[in-house]
Amino acid sequence: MIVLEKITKSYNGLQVLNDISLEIQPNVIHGIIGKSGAGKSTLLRLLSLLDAPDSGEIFFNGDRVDNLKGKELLNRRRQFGMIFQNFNLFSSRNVFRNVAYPLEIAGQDKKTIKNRVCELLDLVGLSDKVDYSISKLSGGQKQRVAIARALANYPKFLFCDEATSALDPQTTLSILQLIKDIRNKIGLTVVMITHQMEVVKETCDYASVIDDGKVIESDTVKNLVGFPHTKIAREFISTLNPFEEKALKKLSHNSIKCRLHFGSKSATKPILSQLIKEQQLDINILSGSMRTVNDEPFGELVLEFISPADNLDVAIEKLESQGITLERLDV
Amino acid sequence: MFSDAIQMLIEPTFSTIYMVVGSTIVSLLLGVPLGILLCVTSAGNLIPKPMLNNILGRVINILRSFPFIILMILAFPLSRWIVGTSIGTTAAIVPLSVAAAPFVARIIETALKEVNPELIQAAKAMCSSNMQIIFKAMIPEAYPSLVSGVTLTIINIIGYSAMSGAVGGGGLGDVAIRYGYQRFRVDIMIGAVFAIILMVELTQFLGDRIVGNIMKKRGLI
Repeated sequence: MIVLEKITKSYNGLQVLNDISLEIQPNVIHGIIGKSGAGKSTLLRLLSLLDAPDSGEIFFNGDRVDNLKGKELLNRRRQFGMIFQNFNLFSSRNVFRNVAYPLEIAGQDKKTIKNRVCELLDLVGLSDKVDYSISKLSGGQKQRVAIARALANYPKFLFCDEATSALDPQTTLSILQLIKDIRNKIGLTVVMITHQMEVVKETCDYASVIDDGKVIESDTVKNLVGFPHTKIAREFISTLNPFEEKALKKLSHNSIKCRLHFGSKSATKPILSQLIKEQQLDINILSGSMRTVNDEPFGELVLEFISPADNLDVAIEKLESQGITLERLDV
Repeated sequence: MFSDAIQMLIEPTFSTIYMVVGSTIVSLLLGVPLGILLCVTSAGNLIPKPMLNNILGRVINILRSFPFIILMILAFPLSRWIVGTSIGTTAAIVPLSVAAAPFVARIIETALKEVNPELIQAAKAMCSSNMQIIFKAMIPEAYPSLVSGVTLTIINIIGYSAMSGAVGGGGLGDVAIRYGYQRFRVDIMIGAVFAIILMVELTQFLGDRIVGNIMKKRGLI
């Protein structure tokens, strides 16, 4: 368990962390979410003992660690693995030798290194890329190499610094899944620094929202998303796609579900209510949202049509003639 | 007459090669540690030591501002002390190395500073010692720039070595001045210049080739 007590830290007179107290349970994935400048990266530097707090105490499994020096500090830091937004792999080394780096500097012999690296590449699913050069890998593969490297010395903690921020959404999900799988397989406390609520929602068990150098909310992700208490937390939650298609599976299978996209012109007209009156439709609104793109309003509405199918075809035609894009969500 | 000129150029060519190789080795031995020190002691780098960095930088700048011809003459006592004489190819290695070492230091410094600071942070986070970061991370990462820098150094030394011929350094520069210039042997002058051009081209070619191979191996080109 990691405990932070009343941590403060300032750089060049600027107060970055302002009384942070936090508990991170063992073997959980704990997300730390905040906007840029909230102090996330500083918090991670302190957690990974690359920097010491100005005041306050940090405990790992009950041992105070923020005041360690020299060999003790190094030994403690050997229990950490770290991955980064920009992967930070060595271009001078191929996949194998990147993963081997932490083992080399820890003074392991060649045979141990070889066995361990193969084991790790197997774990992250890159056994076939052993002698690839780094530049030949995709972003997701690079992060997999970085994860393998971070796990080389059997760490108890894995720190992820915006580890998926440079990846596309699909790759992000696969990396998050990998981190979850690894946690389940080898037992690991993971701390994830991120600004993406998506990442927290997908992966984390617990999450803390930090803003202006303070923890403003800390709870299980389920509670946090369900009952956010602060404005910042609500803001983060609203960045999630308001509608999840897998929720549809929980609904009746007899009705027809559609997603309607309103352009800036149709977004302001009462098209739907006209349609309901004209076609005598029964409609259940499942989800709706409005966004602005370049200051123009755009809407999205997910509807469940409970009417008979022949009425529906007319309705769909009518909607499309008004400039609304219609997407059938067949589950 | 032409074969006679070639005959006369063979020995000085080897003298020049000897001078260049010797000075390159000595200047690298002096310049590489200085360059590493300059890089890692700079503000925000591995071991920030602003005071040391400042002094080192100044000394290197002063050495680099000396015109080579003056440095050569100033280095006579040093040559006499180290080699035992101030005349000849071996003696010329002293001023050539003194002139090239600060250049090497700057080139190594620049190449190492190009290494992504985030990468150094990552190496640090993986519990590398400073020595491990320098030798296992920074130098390998900067390898292509380092090789380009060494190529540039060798070419510079070739140029300087021709100049050192003017004050008794021997080699191609010496022949070009004594025969080509003072005795109007245009063929020897042209031959000597041609030999120097050939050396420069060859060095550049090999340097580019090595850099190309490294880049190819890393999949960067």
